[in-house]
Formats: sequence, C-alpha cells, structure tokens
Amino acid sequence: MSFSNLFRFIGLRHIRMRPARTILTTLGVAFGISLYVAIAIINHSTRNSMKESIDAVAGKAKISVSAGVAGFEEAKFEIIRAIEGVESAVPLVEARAFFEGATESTDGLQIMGVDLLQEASVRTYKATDQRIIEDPLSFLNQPDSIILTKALAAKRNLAIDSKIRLSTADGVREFTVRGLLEPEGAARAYGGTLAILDIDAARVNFGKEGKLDRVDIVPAQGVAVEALEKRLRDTLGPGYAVERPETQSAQIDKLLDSYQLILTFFSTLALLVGLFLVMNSISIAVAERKREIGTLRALGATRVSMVVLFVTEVFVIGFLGSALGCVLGKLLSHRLSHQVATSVAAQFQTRVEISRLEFTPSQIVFTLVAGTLAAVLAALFPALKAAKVHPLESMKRHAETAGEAEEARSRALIVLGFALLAFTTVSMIQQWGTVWVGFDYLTKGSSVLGAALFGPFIVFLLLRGFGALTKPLPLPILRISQENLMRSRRRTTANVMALMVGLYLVMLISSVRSSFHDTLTEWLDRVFVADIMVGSNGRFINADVQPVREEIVQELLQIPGIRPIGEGHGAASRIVPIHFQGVKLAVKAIDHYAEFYEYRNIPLVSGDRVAVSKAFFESKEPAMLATGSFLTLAKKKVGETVALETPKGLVSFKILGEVTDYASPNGVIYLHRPVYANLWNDHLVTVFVLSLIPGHSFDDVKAAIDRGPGKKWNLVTISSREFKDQMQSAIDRSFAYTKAIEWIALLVGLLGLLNTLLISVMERTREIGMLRAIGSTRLQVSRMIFNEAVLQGFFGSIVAIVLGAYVGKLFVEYALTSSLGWVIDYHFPKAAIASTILTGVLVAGIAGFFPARKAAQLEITEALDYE
Amino acid sequence: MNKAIVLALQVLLALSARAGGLSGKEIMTKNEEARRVGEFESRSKLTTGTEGSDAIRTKEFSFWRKVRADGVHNNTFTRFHSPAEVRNEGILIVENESGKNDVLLYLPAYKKVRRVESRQQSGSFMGSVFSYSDIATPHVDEYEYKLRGEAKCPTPESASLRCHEVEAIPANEGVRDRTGYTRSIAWVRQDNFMVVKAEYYNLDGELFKRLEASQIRMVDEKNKKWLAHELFIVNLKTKEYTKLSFGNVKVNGGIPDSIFTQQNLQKVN
Repeated sequence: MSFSNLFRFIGLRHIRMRPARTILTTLGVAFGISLYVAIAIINHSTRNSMKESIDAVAGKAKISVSAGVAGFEEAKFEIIRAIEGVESAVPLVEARAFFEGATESTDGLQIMGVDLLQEASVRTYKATDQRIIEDPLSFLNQPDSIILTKALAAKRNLAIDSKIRLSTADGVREFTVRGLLEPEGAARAYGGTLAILDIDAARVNFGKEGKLDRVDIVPAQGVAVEALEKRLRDTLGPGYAVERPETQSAQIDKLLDSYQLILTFFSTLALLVGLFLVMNSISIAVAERKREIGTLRALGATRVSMVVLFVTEVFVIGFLGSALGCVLGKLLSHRLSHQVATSVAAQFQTRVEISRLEFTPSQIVFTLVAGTLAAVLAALFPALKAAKVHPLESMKRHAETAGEAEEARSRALIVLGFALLAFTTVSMIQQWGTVWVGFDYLTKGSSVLGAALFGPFIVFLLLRGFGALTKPLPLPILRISQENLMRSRRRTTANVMALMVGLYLVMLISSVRSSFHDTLTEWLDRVFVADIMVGSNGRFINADVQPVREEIVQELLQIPGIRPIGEGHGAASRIVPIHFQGVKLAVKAIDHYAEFYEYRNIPLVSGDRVAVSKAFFESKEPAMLATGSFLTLAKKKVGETVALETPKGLVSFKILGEVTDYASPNGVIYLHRPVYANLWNDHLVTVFVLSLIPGHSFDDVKAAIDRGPGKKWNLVTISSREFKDQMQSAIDRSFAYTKAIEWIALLVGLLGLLNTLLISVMERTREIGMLRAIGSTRLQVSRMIFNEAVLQGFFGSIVAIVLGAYVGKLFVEYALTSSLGWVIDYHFPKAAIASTILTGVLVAGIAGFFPARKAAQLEITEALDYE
Repeated sequence: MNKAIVLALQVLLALSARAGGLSGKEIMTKNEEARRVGEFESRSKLTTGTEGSDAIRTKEFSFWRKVRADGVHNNTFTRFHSPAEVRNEGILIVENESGKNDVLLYLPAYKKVRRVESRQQSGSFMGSVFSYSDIATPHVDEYEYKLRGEAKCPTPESASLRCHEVEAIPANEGVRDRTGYTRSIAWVRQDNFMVVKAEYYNLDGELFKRLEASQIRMVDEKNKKWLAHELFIVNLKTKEYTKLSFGNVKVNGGIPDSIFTQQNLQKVN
C-alpha cells in the first residue's frame, strides 16, 4: 500500500472518525499558538511603535541634545546652532497634557512645542488641508493655538476651530484647533496621540519658560556625525545627552529585551501545554491503535511508513491548529495590547502608544511552519514508539501492561524532572542567565519541563498516602478510583501532566503578582503617612500627572483644616526620570516636611532614620539617599559620593543612606527639592502632600480645595486611602494581561485532560464492561470515573501549588532582579491556594463529567466485546 | 555647407536672445534699477481669499523699505495693525550679500523675537499667498536669465504696451531652497522695465503661482523710480489669492536706519 493510500484510508479515517479528539487536539494547538502569536504581535508592535516615535520626532536630524525631563536653558540653543558643522538646529519643548478631568494616562497626549519658523529643516508635517495652519501670524501670536493629528481629532470628534480644554501647569486652559495633520512625518510619533504647539505657547502653558527639552541637529554636508557629536559634547559639557536616533533605538531594544523575554516565556508555556496535549493525544492513539499498527505491519507496511502516518496526521492537526491560532492570536492581541503597553510604560517610566498591531505575512508563514513543526515534533516520540510495535506483540489481547522497560523509563523521567528543577534552582540563584542569554531560555524551559516530569511522581506519593488514609473508611468507589489511578501509571501521569502545567503557570504568575502587590502595599503602609495628596490631572500612582507651579501650596495652606507643614516652601514632591550611565532612574525631590511625620516617609533600610534624614535635609553639601539598585548600578556604598550630570554641570552628591523605593527598577534617588530645583532649574511640582488638623474631615477639606484653588488650578485631591487603592489597582492593571495567559493555559489544560480522560474511558471499555457484568451500577461506574478525574485534579493542583510557588520564589528573588532590576520580597500567594485547588478540581470535574457519562452509558455486551 | 547652416543658426539664436540689443540679464538689471526706490514707506493692506469663496482675511500694516549702503540690497520692516490677533507683530527682513536673508518676527504675545529659518522663507508670509522671499526683492545676480522673446503685455492695464518675456532660473540651490521656485517667467514692460506679470514654478517643476502688478506709477521722478501700487498673486493649485495694496506711499522721506533693527522690532507703542 502506497503512503498516500495509507494516509487516505487509515490516517484521514481516524481524523474523521474521532471528531471530538481531532477538534480537542486542534483547539489545544490553536489556543497555545494564539497566545504565542498575540504576545509576538504585541512585542513586535511595541518595539516598532517606540522606534517609529524616535524616528518621527528626529526627522532628518542625525543628533539630538537633551538634558532630561527638566530640560535646559533656552540660551544654549544659540550656542549649539553656532557650533561648527551644524547645518540646521531646531528646538523642541516636550510636555504631557491631559484632557480636563482625566484620571487615566490614556486621557493624556504628548505635547510637542516646536518652532514652526524653523521646523522645515528637520521635521516634516503634512496637513489635511493645503497648509498646516491657515495663518501663521495669527497662529503664532495666540498661545491657545494647537495642531492635532487627524486620528486624534477624529477620536475626539474635533475639527478646525474646535475648542479643547487641557490641564496645564496653570490649571485648565482652552485651546483652539488651528490645524490638522495627516499621519506622516512627525505626526506618526506616539501613535498619533500628540499635539503640536508653537514652542513659546508650550513654554508658557507648561511651565517651561526660558527652557528647551531638546535640540535636533542636522550636520552640514561632509561633516562626520561622530566628530560633530564630540564637538557638541565638548562644548556643552556634562549634564547633556548628545545622542543619535539609532542609539536611542538600540537603547529601546536593550530595554525591551529582558521584559519581552518574560512575556515570551509565559506565552511559550501556554504553547508547551498545547504541544503536551498533542503528545498525549498521539501517545494514547498509538496505544489504542496497537492492533491496527500490527496488522498494517504484518501486511508489509514499513516502520518508517508508520512514523510518517502518525506524523502526517499530526501535521494536518498542527497546521489547522496553527492557522486557527493565527486568527485567534490577532484578535487576542487587540484585547491585550493596551494592558501590555500599560505594563511596559510602568516598567520603563515611558509613554508607550502602540500605533498599530502588525502581523506581517512573514510572521504568519513563520507561525504556520513553526506551529506545525512543533506539533510534529511533539508527536515524533509516540510515533517512533508506534514504529517499534512488533506485529506479533500487537495481536495479543491486553498487551498494554507496563513492562520493566517502561517502569525504568518512567523512573528515568522522574530523575530527569528532578535534575531539571535542580538546574533551575542553581541557575536562577547563580544568575547564569546574565552571563549567557541561552541559560535564561534553558532555565525557564527546565522549570516547566522539570515540574511536568517530576510533578506526577509527587502526585503518586500523595495518592498513596490518600489511599492509606481512606482505607478504613466505607468509601469503596473512592478507593477503587484511587487504586485505578495508582495502577494505570502511564494514564495518570499523562492526565496529571496535562492539568498540572496549566495550574503551575497560574501559580507562578500568582507568586510574582502577589509579591509585587504585597511588597508595595506593605511599603506604602509604612512610608505613606500623609492624609491628603493634591496634584493635577493624570495618574498619581506613576507620577504621570501634569506638573503644577510650586506657588500653589500657599493657596492650599489657606484652606481651613490643612495643617501647615514643611519649611516655608511647602510640602511638595517632584518626581522625574533622569539618566545615569545610560539608564533611566527616578528622582524624588522632596521638601523638608518629612520632619512633621518624624521622617516616617523616609524608608531608610538601616541606620537611625531620624538622624540620617535630618542630615540629608540639612546638609550644606549636595546629598542624596538612594535605593540598593542605584548603589549597585553606581558601584557605590553609603558614605561615598557619586557624581550626577545636571544642567549646571557634574555635581557630586554624598550618599547618606539607603532607602527602599519602587518608583523605578533601575534605582531611585531622593534629593532635597530646593537642591534639585536649583541644579535642574525645575520648580514645578508633581504632587503636594498635606496633613489634616485633627477634628477636620477629609471630605470637608477636599470640598474646600475643589471650590477654591482646585477650581482655579485644576487640582485633583485624593485621600491616602484612595492613593493606596489606586496603587493596588495599578498593580492589578500591570498584571492584567497575565490573566489572559492563565486562562488560556487552563483552557488548554482542560482540553488536554478532557482528551486524555475520554481516551482512557475508551481504553478501559472492557474493564468497565466487566465491572458492570459483576454487578456495578451505571451510577457507580460513572462516579468512579468522575472521582478519578477529581482526585487527579485535586492532587495535581496541590503539586502545582508547591512547585509553582517554589519556582515563583526563585523567579521573584533572583530572575526579576537580574533581568528587570526589581528588588522585591517574595510573598506566598495565599489567596491563590484555594482558587488554584478549586480551579484544578473544577477543570478536572468538567473534563471528567463527559467521560463518566460515556462510561455509564456503555452496554455490557458491547463493552466486553470491545477491542 | 552644413557647418555654414549651423553657424548661421547660432548667430540667429544669439541675436534672438537679445531684444533691442539687451540680454535677459540686462533687462532684469534695468528692472532692478527701475524698482529700487531708495526709501519708501506706506500704509498697506493685504487681502487673502479663495476663488469661489466669499471669505476673505484682511491685514493692515505699515511698511518701510530702504536700500542698504551697498546700493543693492534692501531692509524691509513691517508692523501690523489689524486684525487684533496680529496687532503689533513685526517682521524685519534684512537682505544680505551672501543671499541668505535674515528674517525676524516679533510676537507681542510672548514679547519675543523669532528667526525665520532660510528654508521656511519659501513659506507663507502673513498667511498670504506671498512667501517671505516674494516680499524680499529678488536680485539680478541670484538668477540666470534667458530671454524668451517679446510680446504684447499680458495685463489689462498694460495691454497697449510691449513686454519682454524673460525666464529666470535660480543660480544656486540656496536661492532655490529659499524661494521654493525652480524657475519663473516675467513679462517686463519695454518702456519702464517694470514687471507686469510673472509665473512661478515650484520644486516639482509645476506652474504654481501667478503674479500681476498694476497701478504702476513713477514715484521718484528725479531718479526715475517706479512702484506697482497693487500686486495680485494667485496660487494655481489651491486657488487662493492675495492682493497687496500700497497706500499713502511716501518716497525718500528720510527713514532712519534705526527702523530696521531688532530693538525697533521689539518696540511697540
């Protein structure tokens, strides 16, 4: 028989005759692939969007000069312009603005303050009408003039001459739309969520008078970019970042690599669960079709044709599953993109706008090929097993008994599983992944495979213990179920593995989530001692708010019920990112109001909190407190000095203490605000921190602020409780996308378990017939099968909890620090225990329900006659 | 025989490129001399609209122009009076020998002087169809000329007169970038060498703008200087047009050089 006939008459017949199994296996592959595809699309699109923004803003510029969020003096522009080799230089002021009443970052937009009289030499814009602006003279002389992208205008239902209200450093201001841009040139930046203002209007409205954030430079013809870069650095001195757009793109790649590796790891896990399902399905099909294989072999089919037959069957399923996975993945990417972008933005303290989700034809082809190939590879081992089936052996009835060889193989797999978990442990503790990225992949892969191989061994131990415990109890059906599971090791292992990998993933993610959540909540409870926070629109929690003027505090202190704290200039904080050794850090510049709270808001790691904090605020020399991650990055210790680049040059700061803070994984520096304001020439305030006079309620004070300075300056007032709630919800949002990963992993696990349980009922048809023949009722048989499923679900979930929590602890304590920089304490996800067990039992119960019903419906005579 | 025919054709072509003994460059040199009024000031009006639409925008401003010490280049100063949103804005154009003009804009809303970058000078002047470089007068040396021939002057006011037809091509990329034109064709009156009509081609080589000058009157009899009191320019792509009218023209009334300074630009009454 030729192979094509073999596949047509045998392979395709099996695919058609077992539609449930074919559909389940195909869906398993499809769901696994879908998550992988969704994450791949989002990763690719995030990277592209961020790079596109860099290129769009840079335009024709080959070099850009900046000095952090606080910017630098406008006077420097003429110095830059006059440097030999500069053909054109154009200034830029950047700001974040929020639509009136915004409480979310999504209601914000990027402001580009440009000099429209100079822009043409660097950036290009294309207007929807003939000209970007109708009348440049009117536009430039009116600070309310604004140009929007066509996409943003359409989203907000705006047109030329529409009025929009945006929060600025001086409260809400009304702007008039005087131009619309097509999505070309600079208008492609930030996913089109941007507005163009004249540079002076941007300065006036966003508290940047006399300042610039950036100058983009086009070198003169024949001038080497490197030489000009050096000249700029030499002229400007420290405190200025002189960069090329490609350097910024490379930094983006570096930043995203580690983060996206974790996302890819989680999505690969779901894919692995799907492939596991394929392997199980084919393994069982091989066992089920042993007689058929024997017959075909006896009729002259070769071993190779047997392998090819099974592989081709899987090829069809793998291809269909991958194709469906591509479609589902694209849909899923739309659902997850915003959540992932939020999470990336929180991680890197940067705005991430994914302009479009790209799934290129080459990606589609790659996914189809890789998905199909992975499914084929997963089926290869059981297919090879099929090839080894001897015609004579296959003719024997009930040949399926675990031989010594199988026992030995099973023991070897347990040892391998243990060894892989041991490797995971050592590799994570020693942080081998930082030495070679290959170790990172190996470690993460080992953690899953190790748990999958070693987990069933623990399940058997638990089942044995459970058997001993329940032996005296009058629960015969439960005991039979337990004994069945113990006896059918191969089957039980397959079922447990299918379910456990999904639950293990859930537990691993829960460990990371709860560690972040609990660490930050404990920290907040310890250090956040103020009663009220006052700021402008935006999100307080990641300091993504419109900064306001410091003078506002004087008006706030006039409100009855607010206790004057601080040293005259108020109780304000300015939170900004700065660059240090090419890495983005967070600076928290705080006023000396800490004294009022007995310095409880200074989270010193060790030493006398009050003494160190006093020394910090009263120091005559520039001083700082810093987190451990900063000290590691700077290779400094407490007591030493570290030089920071400021717009006023290189300034040495004495490190007076180590603090705990989570504003940035790369490091956080605390500075006394007057020192910061002087060196960075930045007097804006991110948030005011206030205290209530005893006897006054928060609600009364908030109402008074809202009526007075709140209305005037567009301030948002929240209580400490609200702030903490916002923090918790921000953490939840950062991890929101992981919920989808968990759900898909569980769904694939459910499909896997359903598949293997259905098959196991089929395998045990004769056994069930015999049970029925010796007097078992349909209900008892059905309960037995259902009990088996639930027992596997229960013990499988317990093992998943233990192994997931263990690897989760390693992940939190070592991998998060080495790959992302976060230093957080491990917190066991207590809340996840009950839900994981419940999910495990529920999934197993659902998966066991249909096979149990099917088993109960079997006719005795048919069952006894079943081959 | 063939050589003789070629030679004869070359001679004919050379002769045809000189009208009445003048080459294209000589005609435009005379044009520059005729319109180079030593000093003049006026109260002017700029009206912009679109063909087929009733909506028009009008700006009123004072205008001062003075030839610099080199006798070739001009300084131009404009102060706006209306509408309200542009009141007190000022524009100072200083033409340089290098060909790179300094254009400074004063914005009263910010009390700041801003520089208009060279490439931006091909952009709209005061939201009109004129560009900054249209307002800064062209100079003979910045172009290469080709005399295309002579014909009846193409505007109603000068219909009874004869005109030279001269094509001008920017002499270098700097001029091309600043003006935004790859070439232009001017109809120059043979009697006084004033341009009555001009057509401008954009960087894609397409006909882009058409200018017509009218109310051409002698303003300085002693030095034989002429001024077109009304200029009408239309953007042939967008159908947008602008009419620039010079009223209350005063010539050689003694404009001090201090008018054309950054200090004066910032000085608002």
